[in-house]
Amino acid sequence: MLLQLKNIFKWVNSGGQRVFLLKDINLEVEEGEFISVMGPSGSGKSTLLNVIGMLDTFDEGEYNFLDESVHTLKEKHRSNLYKEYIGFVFQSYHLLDDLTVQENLEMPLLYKKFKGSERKAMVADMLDRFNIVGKKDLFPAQLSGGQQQLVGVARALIANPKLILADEPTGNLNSQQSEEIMELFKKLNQEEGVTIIQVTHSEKNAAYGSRIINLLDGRKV
Amino acid sequence: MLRNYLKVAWRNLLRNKIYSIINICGLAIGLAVCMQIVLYTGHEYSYDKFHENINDIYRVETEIKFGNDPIFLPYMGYTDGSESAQVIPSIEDFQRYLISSRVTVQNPENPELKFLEDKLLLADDNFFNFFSFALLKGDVDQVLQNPFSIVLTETTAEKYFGNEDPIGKTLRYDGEHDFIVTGVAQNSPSNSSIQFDFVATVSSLTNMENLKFHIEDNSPEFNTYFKLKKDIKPTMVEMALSNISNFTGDDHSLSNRKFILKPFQELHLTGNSSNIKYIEIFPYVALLILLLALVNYASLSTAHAATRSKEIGVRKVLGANRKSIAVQFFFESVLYTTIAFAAGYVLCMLFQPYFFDFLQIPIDNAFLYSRNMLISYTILFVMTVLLAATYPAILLSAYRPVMALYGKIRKQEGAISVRKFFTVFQFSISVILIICGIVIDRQMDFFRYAETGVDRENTVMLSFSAKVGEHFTAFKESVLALPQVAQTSASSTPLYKGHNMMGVQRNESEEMAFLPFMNVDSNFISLLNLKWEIPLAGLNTLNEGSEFALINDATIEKLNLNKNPVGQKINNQYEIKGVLKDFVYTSLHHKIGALCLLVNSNGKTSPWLENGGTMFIKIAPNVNFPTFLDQLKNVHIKYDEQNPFEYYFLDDVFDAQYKAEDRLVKIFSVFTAFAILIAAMGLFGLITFIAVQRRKEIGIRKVLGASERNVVSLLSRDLLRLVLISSLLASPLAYWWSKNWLEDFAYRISITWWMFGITIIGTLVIALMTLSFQVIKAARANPVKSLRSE
Repeated sequence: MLLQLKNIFKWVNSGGQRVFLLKDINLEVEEGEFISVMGPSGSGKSTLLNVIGMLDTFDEGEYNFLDESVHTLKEKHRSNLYKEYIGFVFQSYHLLDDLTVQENLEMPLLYKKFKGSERKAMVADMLDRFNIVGKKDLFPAQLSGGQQQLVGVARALIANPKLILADEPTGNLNSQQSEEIMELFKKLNQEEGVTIIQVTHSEKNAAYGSRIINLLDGRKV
Repeated sequence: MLRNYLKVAWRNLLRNKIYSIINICGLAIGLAVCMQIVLYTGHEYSYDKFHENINDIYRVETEIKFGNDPIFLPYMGYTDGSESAQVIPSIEDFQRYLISSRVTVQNPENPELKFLEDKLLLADDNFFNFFSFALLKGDVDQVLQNPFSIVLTETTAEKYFGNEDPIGKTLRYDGEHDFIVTGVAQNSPSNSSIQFDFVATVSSLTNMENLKFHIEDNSPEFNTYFKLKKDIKPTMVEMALSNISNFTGDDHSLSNRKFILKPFQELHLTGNSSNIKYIEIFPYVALLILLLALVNYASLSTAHAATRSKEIGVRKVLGANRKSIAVQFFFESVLYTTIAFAAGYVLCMLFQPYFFDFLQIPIDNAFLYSRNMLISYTILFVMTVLLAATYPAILLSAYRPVMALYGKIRKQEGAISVRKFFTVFQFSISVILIICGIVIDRQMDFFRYAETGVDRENTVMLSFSAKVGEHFTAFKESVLALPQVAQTSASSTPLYKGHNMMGVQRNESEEMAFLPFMNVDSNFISLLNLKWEIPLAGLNTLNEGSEFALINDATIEKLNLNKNPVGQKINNQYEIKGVLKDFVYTSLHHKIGALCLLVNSNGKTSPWLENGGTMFIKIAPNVNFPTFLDQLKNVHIKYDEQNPFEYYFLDDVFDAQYKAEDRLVKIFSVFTAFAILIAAMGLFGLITFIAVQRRKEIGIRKVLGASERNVVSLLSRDLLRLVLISSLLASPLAYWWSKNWLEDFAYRISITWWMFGITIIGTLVIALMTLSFQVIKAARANPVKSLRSE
């Protein structure tokens, strides 16, 4: 088992009242799964993803990731954990504007303290795999949205994570670009066994996954 | 990794050109000003420190007392120096020199090369051993061995001999004594309190008929330095000196004297030169300017970095921890500050000549690159980097990734209040500087235009030599013959440039006191329009008779005279024939002291005129000065070919007494300008930051019907209130400082409310102008845009 959420609660206090963002979430994810999280706006999809990605904390419950109990870990260990095993893909790509494609890909490796020669090899490999060698010296602003997201996915994958978390990865893309990205996810999942959890509004995209989780007002339905 | 950081920083810098320029320039200017001050104070504090044995060297001063009135002379008699060294074993070595000022020196081979020299020292033969002035030519032990040897500085050697080797050549002193050049010394450094162009052997004096009285009289005229043996306290030597009851050739009137040893290394800083009068203020000012610039840098860079929250979030998601983000922003600041520092250094070096010219302080080039300066700059650099880089690094690395990525950086109340604090701080300093500047400026204005009891207008002082004095009546007639001249008078000493003293017995007591006096002719009072307390009866009828005295009000009190002292005699010699109202004859720093004018009768040549003196010339208004001065010069040359034509406007001489204050005004005006500039930049940074933060709020307000004017007032009101708070905080401090400063002066202005009023209004106007651009931009923004992005 890759990860397990047990009775997760998350709330904020607003006007003296407790507003639940996540309410009693239980979830088990096996390696190699492709899960789609669906639900209306404000249902807690992104919050759930951030909790799984350890970017956000929760108030109650247990979270085990690869036999480590995340809720008891210190900030530093937690960040080491997600640094090593989790890759993120965002709706608005979040590439760094001041860095070229190549440098954007290299960045996660810098923080993982790979050697220069290794980094070069891994970046070259990734550029090759995603067919973007010709664009390596361009800045994000010089790419189309689809291409930017392609780089975003490549960046998420470069350090060989076990889990990819994608928050509406095609939200800013047109239907054709969107299809390409989903095909890519499918290929990664099936051929390389990468576990993927995506948040999506679209039934069509959700269908790429092997399992769908529906949320409403912070609850699984 | 580091390369990645620098790459991002560099690209960011290029991408945001305007922001980068404002930020870097602000810091660079602040640093340049700071470096300038470091240079200036460093120079003042480095005075004389280049002498090898500086710690063991003391200068001897003589204190002479008349009753309770002491006067200090920074000199010792010629034989006193050598005799004390003989008798007191703690004195390892000594050195005496006499400064020959206003003496002509000529190259006899090339008689046109004849100049009036001020800095010719007649010194003991160990001069170059005792002090650490470097010799370029000649042997330290040999150069001053024989009488009539002279050592020149490089510049002087070139002045008299061009590119020729001066060694062995002759220079003629005062038209009659020939000296042989035996060595060339390096120019005396700008941070030396001993400044010389020539050093000649003092023993030559015994063979110079007209000058040997300097040695024989043993009057305190020689700058005398003692080098004490290790671990000898100067007080021990002072004691020993006081025990020597009778020096040979002692003048009996000087028996009531005492010798004081002053450490050589403190001479400059405890002296009374205008360079150092306000020196202790400057390091604080430098620190303040640096702080302002740094605060500004931190404020601007964090305001800007808020736009980089996305990057911080991404980096954190990709595995950066707080430390690596902090390190990144730290390096970024290091890059910015390094650029700013380099730019600041270049600015400082470019403007340094103008700055020191402006302040009238010479500084050697060698000093600019001396080791101590480089060390100071390195410290300044490290301090700047640490201070500038820490705050942004800490603040920015604290962003939480989720917040940053989803554009939900909270209102950042903390950051805003820090920034508000910065702004208040910056404006407070500006307000303090402005108010103090106004007070200083008003005081200077008061100095210039205060009623001093002397009519200084259209009055020229012309110093004349003994040569002119011999034919004074004829000279006076020639001057009076010039059409522009209304009236002339003569005195023994110029006004505002010192006066003589005589010892006087106080009325009805044994006590002695010093009484300042001037010898003048009877025109003196009418020319300067001095006012009478008890008028002299029939001044014009006094064509015969001996010298008499006129005193001022202050003298009555000082000498304990009767209310109406007319008829009493000073020292049983000079009959008091009139009393003048007090008038300012020194500077307004001090209360008007006693003064006695010794008047000689009209038309008669008085003995004091034969030593030369000063002629006061009243000229008609609206005279063409250059022509007049040319004519006057021609008259002067007829009577004296040798001495230069030296004149002053009485007004200028009076103003020159406030050189230190004048310099303070200048420095203050420069600092104030920078402080305002920096504060305005800080305010600009703040409003930019707030405008971004409140974009959504402004959008909503506009959708709900707020007009642009409403938004403008909403945004500016808050900040203007900050400026007002700064003014209120700053005013008491400014008041306190100004009041303290004014207490240095016996005659001063009072601090009034309008000084504060003008400052506060002025500051508000500046603040409004700074705000207007961003505020109007924010108010006119299309609300659709700002609301959609949420």
